[in-house]
Amino acid sequence: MTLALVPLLPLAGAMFIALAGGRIGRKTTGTIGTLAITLAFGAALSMVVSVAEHPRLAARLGAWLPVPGADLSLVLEGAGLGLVLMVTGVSALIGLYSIGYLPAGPGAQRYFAALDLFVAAMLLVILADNLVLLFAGWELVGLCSYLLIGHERERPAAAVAAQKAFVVNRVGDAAFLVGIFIFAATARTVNIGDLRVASIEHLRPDTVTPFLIASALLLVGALAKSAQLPLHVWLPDAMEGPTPVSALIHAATMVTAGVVLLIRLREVLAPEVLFAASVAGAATALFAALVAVGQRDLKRVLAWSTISQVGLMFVAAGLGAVFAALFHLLAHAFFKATLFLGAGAVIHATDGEQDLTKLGGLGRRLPLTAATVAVGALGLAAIPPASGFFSKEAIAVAALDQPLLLGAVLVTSLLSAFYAARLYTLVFLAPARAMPAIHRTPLSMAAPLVLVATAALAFGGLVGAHVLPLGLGRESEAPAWLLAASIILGLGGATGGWLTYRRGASAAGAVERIAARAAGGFGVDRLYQAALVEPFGRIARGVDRGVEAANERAIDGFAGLLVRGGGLVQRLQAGSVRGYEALLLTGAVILLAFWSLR
Amino acid sequence: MNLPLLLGDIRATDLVVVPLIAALACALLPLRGLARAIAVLSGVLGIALSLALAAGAAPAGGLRGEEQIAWAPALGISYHVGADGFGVALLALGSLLFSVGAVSSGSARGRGYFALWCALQAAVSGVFVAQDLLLFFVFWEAMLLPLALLLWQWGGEDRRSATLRFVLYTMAGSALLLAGILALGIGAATFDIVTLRAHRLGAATQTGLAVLFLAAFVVKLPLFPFHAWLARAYVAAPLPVALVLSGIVAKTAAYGIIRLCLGLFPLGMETLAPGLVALAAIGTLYAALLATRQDDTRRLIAYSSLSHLNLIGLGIFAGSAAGAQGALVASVSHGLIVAVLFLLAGMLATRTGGWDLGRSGGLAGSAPVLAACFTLAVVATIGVPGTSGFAGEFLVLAATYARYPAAAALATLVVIVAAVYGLGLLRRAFTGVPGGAVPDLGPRERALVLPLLALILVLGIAPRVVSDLVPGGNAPVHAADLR
Repeated sequence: MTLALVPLLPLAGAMFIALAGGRIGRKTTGTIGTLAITLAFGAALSMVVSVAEHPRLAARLGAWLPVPGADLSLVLEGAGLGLVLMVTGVSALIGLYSIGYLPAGPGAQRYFAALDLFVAAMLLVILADNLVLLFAGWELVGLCSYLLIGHERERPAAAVAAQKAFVVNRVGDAAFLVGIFIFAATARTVNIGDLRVASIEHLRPDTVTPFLIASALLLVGALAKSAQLPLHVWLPDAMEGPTPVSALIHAATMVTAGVVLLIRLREVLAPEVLFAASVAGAATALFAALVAVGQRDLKRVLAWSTISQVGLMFVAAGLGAVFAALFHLLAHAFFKATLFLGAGAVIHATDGEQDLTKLGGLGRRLPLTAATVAVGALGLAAIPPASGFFSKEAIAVAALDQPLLLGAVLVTSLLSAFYAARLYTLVFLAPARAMPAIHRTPLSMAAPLVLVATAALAFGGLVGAHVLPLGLGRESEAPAWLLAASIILGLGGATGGWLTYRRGASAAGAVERIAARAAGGFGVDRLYQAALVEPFGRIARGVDRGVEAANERAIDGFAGLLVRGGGLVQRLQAGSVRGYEALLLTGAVILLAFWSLR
Repeated sequence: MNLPLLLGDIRATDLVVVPLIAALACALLPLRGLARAIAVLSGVLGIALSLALAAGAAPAGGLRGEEQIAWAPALGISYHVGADGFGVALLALGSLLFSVGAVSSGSARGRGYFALWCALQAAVSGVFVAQDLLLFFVFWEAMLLPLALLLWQWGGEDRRSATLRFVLYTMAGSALLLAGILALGIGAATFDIVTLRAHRLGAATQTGLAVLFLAAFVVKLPLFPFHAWLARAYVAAPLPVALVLSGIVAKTAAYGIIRLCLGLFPLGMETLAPGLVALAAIGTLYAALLATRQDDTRRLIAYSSLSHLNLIGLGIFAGSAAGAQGALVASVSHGLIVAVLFLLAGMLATRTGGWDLGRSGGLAGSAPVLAACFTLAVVATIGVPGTSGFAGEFLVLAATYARYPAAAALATLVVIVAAVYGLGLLRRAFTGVPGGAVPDLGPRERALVLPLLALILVLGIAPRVVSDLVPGGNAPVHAADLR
């Protein structure tokens, strides 16, 4: 039953914090919240040996919905343990970091309750043995992101961003739901193991089309949750949340859920749909990398880089290279958490400055932060020995047979190296600006930062050197020319970024002006506003003022008809009994008519 | 009066008798301040009785606490009562909502109010236990009088015209129901529902009778587009009356469609199903769309409620046991959720001095518990898993999909629109720069709201408590008739 403890411990933590109310202080709340996640990490760690012996562990907690297979049951198999360890490990570090980061105030209770629930929900996505329970985790992840993005409730922008994140996610969730209905109606089960069997062994002509449609709908859900084209619009705005929340959403608990879904359902989903996931991923990777180059806000660079990097994971997962997808998911989690926690340290030190053009010269003043962010940036740039190099290499290998996809992966690599160097140079190396006093980073923030940076540095090499297994079969190794090309692209992009920005953004000239054109995300947000949001409002208004008003007038007309027709008005005011008699009479007439017709 | 709990042998009749005695006590005895306590007690006793009924295994005939007394044998009329799985679950829900509504009514309401309140409880319970069509009709009509008087006498600004609309619309439906009942009962020489369920009519007759019966039910539910009375009645009604009107009175229609229309005219319902399913799916989405436009919290809740009631209708019209089962879970869930929403909206209104969402804003800072409770209630309304709202919605939509995929897919879009109106409500009421400080929920308010929220979560994790009371399965209800 250790398996059941893994999601239940953070859930219990969330419930305890929620019920304890304001009676416990900020530090105690944070400690309990972090401890609950750490214990879940410990429980997962204790299963390493048993997983080696039994590749498939299951735990049934009870019945849930009266639908075949929709029970409260968990299963740990394949990629599960690696994902669980990463999610709990990184989230525990983010929890610890948050204790120092959050300002004093009554918000800590809400924050840590949502944080623990977030982790529990993500664990459910990884461990659920059926689609409905997986969907429960899936939706709760969305709910927690809503709660945490809107954490600072007095800021209207945060409230709007939180609502946007949830509504866009719900577009995907609606598709996901219909996909579940199709699987349930066609295969008569929602159990993932049984669906695998159903899709492989019993795929008959009459189930091919439903499975294809259901697969496509699940992919829409994955695109929304993982912020992929065309449903990526919520993630850049999600920066309104506190920085550790961004670290959580981007690294551990949310955007990778779509990749987890593709990995877990690779045998269930239709091959055409998986390939479509690759194409969407490649397009997203390239598009988001371009947009990232032009961002002026420190956190927005990182946000767009996540969209781009998750796109690479989609490329791999869609091509069936689940090992590569999982490898990059884990490596990205470590280096992206490093980058966000490092960014948080910068923002904390400078009293909230996030504008890259106003930062600079922090390398000497924040040496520890500079060193850790350097590790994260190397990972993003995919330069050895950072983890990102090994995992991105695995993805490139997976795409070797698909020249267009491979091209997208390699160009994305070049752009990633460029904007990673741009970010690092502008914050730490470019000439210093006049800046207020620098606050020192408290130990509770520095310690997790160093730990996660260490993981980001070592993880890729350990997996690459076959020291760490990930629970999935490896795909083939990279040919020498590809290795060389990748190193050249990474180093070339990074050097280009450094050369362009070493004297600051204002000195970057034409490059910065061109990049700034991409910064708006190519107008997708504006397009949605004009093509979807505003028409929705107009339709709702039209229904309200047109159809509904007409319907209400119709009943008034009906009432008037009764009143005029029978001179009923006085009698109705004298009491409803008389009117009732009249209607009984009407009933009797209808009754006679009915009988005569029989 | 006998004490059924102590005697152990509980009859379905007791669920009508207890509130009826309470109504008479409130009306006749000089109780003054005690009237509310009696109304609350009547609700609490109802909860105990219905839970005790539900706890026992269903007897062979499926009716719990069954009792039959001959009344006019020559005409096939008898006093026949008993509760099936749907009835017993809705009796428990109804009793809970009547006790909660009585608590929130304020002791200043006076004896008349509470006498009518208890009479309404008796009538609603009667609908859920009646096993004779004429008896059903008597209880069905008996609901209208106390409801109309409560609305007419204790309602808000618009109460007179809202009452008139409600009464006229409802009675038009009831007249057709009576016609249907008389035609069926006289034709078959019995009004006994259990006997009639075994008595199969021709397909065309079934369709005609189903239409007459449905006339009453689609207005009371109400199914789109027969809902024009709803928003004004909810807004004009005193808050506790709006609470029971939406929470349980609407469910008498859902129950009526399941027990009478599907039970007596399965073939007729199958003929009508495509149209009804389409209306319900459109109504689910239509009402949610209207909810996004509302500035008055009561109207917003009214349209959100209408959306859920149409979803319940969708599950029933889908015509499978699984659909009705989902509709039952959704009915219980919606009853709990709408009660919490109305209570919280009332608490919000007393703090901001009105129902207009434009007046509030930024209240989360000074009233964090109110904000947290409201958030949880909205999360349940929009059907997030872990709450009962998801269980009901999922079961209804999954069952509907098995028979009417296009309608189910259309109705599923409601999860997007619901997020827009639900989170919009939270954003407008609680976020932003606070205009001024308001007091947070007091201990009495918490005692009213927190148990309901806990029930919503429990039912979200263990929906089988309710769903196992009735059969499931995706096979069409009319299949038995085709053989």
